[in-house]
Amino acid sequence: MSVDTPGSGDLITKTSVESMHTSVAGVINDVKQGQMGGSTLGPSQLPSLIHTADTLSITSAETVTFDDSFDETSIDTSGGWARLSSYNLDNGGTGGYELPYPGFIYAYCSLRVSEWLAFTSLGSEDGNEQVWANLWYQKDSVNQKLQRNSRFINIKKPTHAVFVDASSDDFFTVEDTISIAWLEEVTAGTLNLITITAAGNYGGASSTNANTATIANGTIGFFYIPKVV
Amino acid sequence: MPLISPMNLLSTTVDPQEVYSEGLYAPANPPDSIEVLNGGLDSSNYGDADKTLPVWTTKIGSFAAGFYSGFDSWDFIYANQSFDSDDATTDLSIRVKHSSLSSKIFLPWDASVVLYGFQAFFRQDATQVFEEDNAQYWNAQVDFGGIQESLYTVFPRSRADEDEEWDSGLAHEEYWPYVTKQHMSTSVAMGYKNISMSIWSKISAESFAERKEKLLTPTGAIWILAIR
Repeated sequence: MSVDTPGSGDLITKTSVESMHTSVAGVINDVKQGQMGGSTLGPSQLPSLIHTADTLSITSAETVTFDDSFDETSIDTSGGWARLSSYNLDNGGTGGYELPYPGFIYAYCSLRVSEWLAFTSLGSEDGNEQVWANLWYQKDSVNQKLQRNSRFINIKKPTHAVFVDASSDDFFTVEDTISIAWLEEVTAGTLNLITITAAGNYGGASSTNANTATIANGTIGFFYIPKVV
Repeated sequence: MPLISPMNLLSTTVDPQEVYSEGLYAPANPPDSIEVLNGGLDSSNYGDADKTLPVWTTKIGSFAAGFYSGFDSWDFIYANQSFDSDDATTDLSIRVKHSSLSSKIFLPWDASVVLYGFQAFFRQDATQVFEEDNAQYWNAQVDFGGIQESLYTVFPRSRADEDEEWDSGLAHEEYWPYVTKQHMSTSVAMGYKNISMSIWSKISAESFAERKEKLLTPTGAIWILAIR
């Protein structure tokens, strides 16, 4: 877009001003609406997407107890499941987080399963001991996702146990990771808490040799994005 | 978008005030001057539903920014690079930076949350793993705005040599431990940010003399997702 500028000594008249105006207006009037509006709004004009977010860094160890009564389908803390008390997002005990609009919750956790203890000093005979964890939440006092997000790891047996001192801690080293993440569409209400339950189980035909497992450190967090404001 | 109307000057001579008021820029509702160039977004640009804007009105990256750096060439770190009595150190000046799992990113705006994490296959040479006489193991720390102790990781056994008694029973050569972890920071200020993994090993004096113990990373990635 350009306008012919007057030369030195030229008179600026009504006609020349109107001519310049017509020239500019013609160009601008040819601009499509979409071209003008496209990419107009950016971080300076648009609000943040995140309404609420919270996270915890856990460095204190949690213990998972093995239980022969383990029930994968249990929807509460029976069937061998128990809460990991450190991994508790509840807005500092204030009753939870307000969700003023329908929206989405993204939640995650990463757990370091560091070691386990056996009833005997021989370690795992077949590597079928398992550590389970489930990331779930409670909204409007109703538990959600209690069954759908369980993950587990197997405790591996030593390959040549006969050569190694049976008291070796190495028998009981696990050092495996359980990471869970999910996205959930929610209605308005109160997100009471997001937390983790864990369980120990034996997946083989004979009974478990495991006593406890240790989750040495881990992370948990969530954020909430309203769908409509 | 409204059209700019033709100019119609009524004065008999050129009147600057009239030129301004009639033509070039005269705010009005609806706009009928060059004001229409000032954004071009009005109610007619809204989407079908109330309080919505069509996607084309927003700049890419207005709400979120992501970064991913993956690799599939073998990364080698030798234990002799990190030999020190303080195997649990968090002093990044002496830990070995895992160059394939470290990067510097630019955050263009203040972020409400920054999700970050890594995933990788590891294969390490270490006779034993943890808390044992002559114990040998590798550990990893992730740094994003400071060491994140909650992401502290010890790599499980994967020693290659199963034949010698000293090495036996502790690993499979073909066993590549896979680790994936993530965490989140809130209220992160704009600007350059570093994310890095640092490695440390504890090996015996005998292994140190051999200068063979190493951590191999065949493939992996780090990632960051920032949301305003």
